[in-house]
Amino acid sequence: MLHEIAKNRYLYLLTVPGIVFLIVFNYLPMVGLYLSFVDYNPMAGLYGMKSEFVGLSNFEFFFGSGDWVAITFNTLYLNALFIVTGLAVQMFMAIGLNEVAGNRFKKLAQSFMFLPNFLSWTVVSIFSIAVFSTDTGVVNAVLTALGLEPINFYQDASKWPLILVLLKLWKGVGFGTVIYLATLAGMDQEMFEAAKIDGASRFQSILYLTLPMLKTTTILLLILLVGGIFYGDFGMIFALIGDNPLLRPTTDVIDTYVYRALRMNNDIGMSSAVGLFQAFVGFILVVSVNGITRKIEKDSALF
Amino acid sequence: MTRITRKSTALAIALLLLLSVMAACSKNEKESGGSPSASTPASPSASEATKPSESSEPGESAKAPPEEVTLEFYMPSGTADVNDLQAVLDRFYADTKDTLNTKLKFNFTTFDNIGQQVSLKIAGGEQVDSAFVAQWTAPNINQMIAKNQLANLDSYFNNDQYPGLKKAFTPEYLKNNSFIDANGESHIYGIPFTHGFDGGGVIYYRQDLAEKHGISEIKSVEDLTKYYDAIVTNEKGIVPLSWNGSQDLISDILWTMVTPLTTKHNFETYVAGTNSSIAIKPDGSLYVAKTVNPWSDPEFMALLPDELKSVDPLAGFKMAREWYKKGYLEKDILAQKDPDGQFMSGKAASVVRTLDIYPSQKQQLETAIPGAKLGYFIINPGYLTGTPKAVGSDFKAWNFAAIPSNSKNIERTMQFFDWLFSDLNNHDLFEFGIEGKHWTAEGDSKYSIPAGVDAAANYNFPGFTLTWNPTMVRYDGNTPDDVVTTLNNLGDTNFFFKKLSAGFNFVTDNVKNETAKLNDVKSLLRTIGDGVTDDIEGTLAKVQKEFDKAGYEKVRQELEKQFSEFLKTNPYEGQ
Amino acid sequence: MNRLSIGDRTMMLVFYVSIGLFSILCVLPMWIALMASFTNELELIRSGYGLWIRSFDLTAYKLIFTGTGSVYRAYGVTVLTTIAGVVLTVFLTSSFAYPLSVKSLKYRNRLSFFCYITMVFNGGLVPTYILTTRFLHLQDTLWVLIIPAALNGFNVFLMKNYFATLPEALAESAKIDGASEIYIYFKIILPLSMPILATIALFAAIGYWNEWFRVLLFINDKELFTLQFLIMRLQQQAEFLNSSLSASARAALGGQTIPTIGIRVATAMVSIGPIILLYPFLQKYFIKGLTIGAVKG
Repeated sequence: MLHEIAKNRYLYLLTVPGIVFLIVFNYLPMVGLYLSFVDYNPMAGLYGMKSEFVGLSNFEFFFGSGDWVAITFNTLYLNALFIVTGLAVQMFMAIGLNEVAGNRFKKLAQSFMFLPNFLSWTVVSIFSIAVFSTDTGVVNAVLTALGLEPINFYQDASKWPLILVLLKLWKGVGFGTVIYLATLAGMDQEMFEAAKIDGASRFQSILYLTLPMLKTTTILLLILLVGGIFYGDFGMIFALIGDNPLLRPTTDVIDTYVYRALRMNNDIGMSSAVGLFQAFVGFILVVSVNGITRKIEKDSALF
Repeated sequence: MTRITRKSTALAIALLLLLSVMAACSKNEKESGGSPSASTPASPSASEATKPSESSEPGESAKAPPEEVTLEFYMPSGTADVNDLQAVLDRFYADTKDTLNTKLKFNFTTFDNIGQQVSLKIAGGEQVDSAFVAQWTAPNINQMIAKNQLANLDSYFNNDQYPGLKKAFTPEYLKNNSFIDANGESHIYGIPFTHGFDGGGVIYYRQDLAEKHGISEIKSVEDLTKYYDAIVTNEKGIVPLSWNGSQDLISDILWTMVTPLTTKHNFETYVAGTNSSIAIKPDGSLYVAKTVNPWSDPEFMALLPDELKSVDPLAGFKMAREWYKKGYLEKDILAQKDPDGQFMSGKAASVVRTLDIYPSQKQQLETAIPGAKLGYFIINPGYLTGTPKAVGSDFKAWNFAAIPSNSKNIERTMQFFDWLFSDLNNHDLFEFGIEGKHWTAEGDSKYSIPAGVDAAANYNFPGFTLTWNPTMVRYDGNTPDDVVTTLNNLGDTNFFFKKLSAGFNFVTDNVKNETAKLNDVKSLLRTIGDGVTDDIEGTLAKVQKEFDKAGYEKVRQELEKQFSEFLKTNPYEGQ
Repeated sequence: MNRLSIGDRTMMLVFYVSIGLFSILCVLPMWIALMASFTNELELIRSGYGLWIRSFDLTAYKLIFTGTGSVYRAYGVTVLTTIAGVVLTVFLTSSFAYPLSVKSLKYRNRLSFFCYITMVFNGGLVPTYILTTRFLHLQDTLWVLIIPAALNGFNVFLMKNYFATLPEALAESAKIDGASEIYIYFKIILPLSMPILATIALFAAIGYWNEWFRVLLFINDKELFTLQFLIMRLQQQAEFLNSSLSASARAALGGQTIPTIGIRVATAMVSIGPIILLYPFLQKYFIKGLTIGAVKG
């Protein structure tokens, strides 16, 4: 091992600041994971380290609720939708921006697409009421103008997965597109020149040259996002849906459930227990996906 | 390329240097002076009155002021900082340099962070001398007491050494604001702050609109519905009643409006923040309702006073549904989060709030809508008619200042509070500011803002975290007399009958998991509580099933156990 | 060679239309929000949102700029922490990510895994708080806003991925010419990595600009409040009072005036501010044709 480090000593040296940083700010606090298994009392011993060990009982309020299967399913389902549609649309937009001519159009479009990222979900929820409201909302105004029945969005759970996906796309596409654009900007242009000379259409160039270039980025993003697939987007869902029980069947995720249950409680043990569950299963998923990726496309794997 | 790299490196280094200079300058010079109090510490766990003595050798302490100590207070506030606070503090220091010699540091944070901040500071072993805790912070006061995190303050009250506290906090007031701890003993764990013993819920309505449609004043539920009908028919685009769909259920309000008053009160609904209702059997023992909607439990109903026996268990829900269908409530009530804005902008004809904000509500409305007049309809018939002993209260405050049990300055802090409440002037200094500058006194019970003072920049200390007390209440000079009368009633102990749960709090440690699950299930009632669905009985049955699944029976039994224990020392006396 | 095929022309049309539509869809709500922030709040509730200002009113902005304490100082603090934070992030992330992308480095996968674990498991608020305040003593300093947020796994992997797309021939030929690893990194790799550096800088800038939670936890000194913190405070208060609070709790808080919708929209506008200007500035790094060509050289 020492031989390896000596051989590439400068490279390993470059990693040292990062390693130190991660140890101090990430690994040291990880001792807190044990909090999931205790009944935390900040006054028990120094920093509450003598809190009483309670085994798995902190997990009971979540797993014993009977709803946890449905809630977990919602979380996974919604996140899967977000990931797939997100990546697809981002790729589409990035390639499109790359292909279209007119620098001004490009710059303007790029900037505009980035804007929704800055509006917080609270502000978006204010707008969404204006859009989806039963009596005065824009959507229902259009529907009635067309002679159709107005939809009572805030009482109909079935419409919301679609709404959530659309809103998430609207807000997040600009951000993700930047990542793809950066990859595209670094592409070797010679290939495309050569392809053009050979008579390939732009569509074919995209299909056979650009897309493969984006493969590694897509796989990377996919693996990273899959790691978070058990974490519901609390900020979005709580701002848009709030406490409305009628919409829960399709939109209730793990994080909103935990919030409601522990709202007046702030039991550190219980909340970190669920967090540990989410982290752990996500981790298993990533290790599996990464393992599969290594078999197929060794270079694209995360580790 | 090289030029760019070198330039950017240089820039980076320069910036980092600049930053370190800034950081060095802004490092907190004033270290939170946690010099331990020089007095003998009063042991917090003993329930007998230990004499907390502060070097009580005569002569000596009268001359030399005690060592200077800075106390760290943690409380929530609506604004990041309080205007002109330093001026008030300077006045305080000038007045008490020789007596208390205590410096105060108020640390304000947001409402939803105060619980977390206090927990973190305690976990980190930092100096916390007074922390704001309440039933609605997270963690709440019950939890903190159960974990022995708060100091027992019994010995500082009803103690001649602390005359201010003795005067402002009567034994009855304190008894009702004591908490039961993990050992089953009841002690004072926090200084309560409140003005009245009930918020005094009212429906504020547009009196100008009412008059326009032939209703001079709303004095009964019939008047109210007539008003709403008029709005529905004549004022399209205005919602009669705007309501925040995420908060309480409207069915509860409606229920209160139509429940007949009674003189016998051997029952109580939604005891001490739980979802359970209780009734006392004729033999004095306890019965806890089996259903989440107590009126659906026939055994419970049988124990109620006669006037209520014939009440429809689903009355509240049915009324909510009726109001929804008639158009009194808006269709998207579950998504409504800003009812006050609706009212102030003219999109709603009435809104539910409390009476104590009458002056500011009136001013806001009249500024926002020219020609508008503010009227109010008191929801609870007991208040409406001013009938004493018709409405119950547990006399509990919903704001407390508690002292962590490992604080080194418990005595100093209590001495400050004693000073605060010993004289109306001391109290008013902190609550309203410097007299003449921030406010003017009108007698002993009213105040006004001097002309020319900008309200936005005026002293705005959150009194509910430090100073509110039923014996020292000042109303805005603009408050009309009828409002003052009602508000005075709300602060008068004799106006209320004592609820069964006065002095009781439910220790949830054993049923922590069930309580968490129930917290979530409770919100399922919203659909019938806000009148959104027709299927009242079906929903109620479904909710009850969810409740049972979440372990309601266990919570019920625990409540029965704890409350029966409580009844032993606080028996029901037929009122 | 200028005549595009039918297929290509349809494709281009699809691109233009979808990008155009989407951009309009994105900018329209922002425009409406901007107009709304200058509108009288009650008028907003009365008549809804529109494309133009119906009743010009600066109250929301006045409240933010006078009612929230020294906004100017907060702006300064935010700008400072953002710049410092971005510099630190780019430096730390790239120096950590580059070795991970060098295929010949034997332990790079283990280091990647080491980094990934930090993205998954989090000890929680309590140990982080204790570490930051009791052991590192970072509270009430600007450092607490700058340092802890500097390195995160997501950025590391993005950078690693980008470095891996650069041709190995570059580093190889330089090595043959006798260049050291450090020289290769600074003089060859980094200049070619402008797109990803700009990307990470952008992400970092946005992250630092929006930081308010750390201020809430660690900073009491009002001289060090950031802009976003002051604004979030306004929003938090409104949120809390309109959340599922029981009537008694709400009554206990006294007559807290609740900022209405206009305030929330105005605060959103104010908090965006200069960061929007950063994006066009960095844009040139994302548009192809500006940085390539170095491969040949």
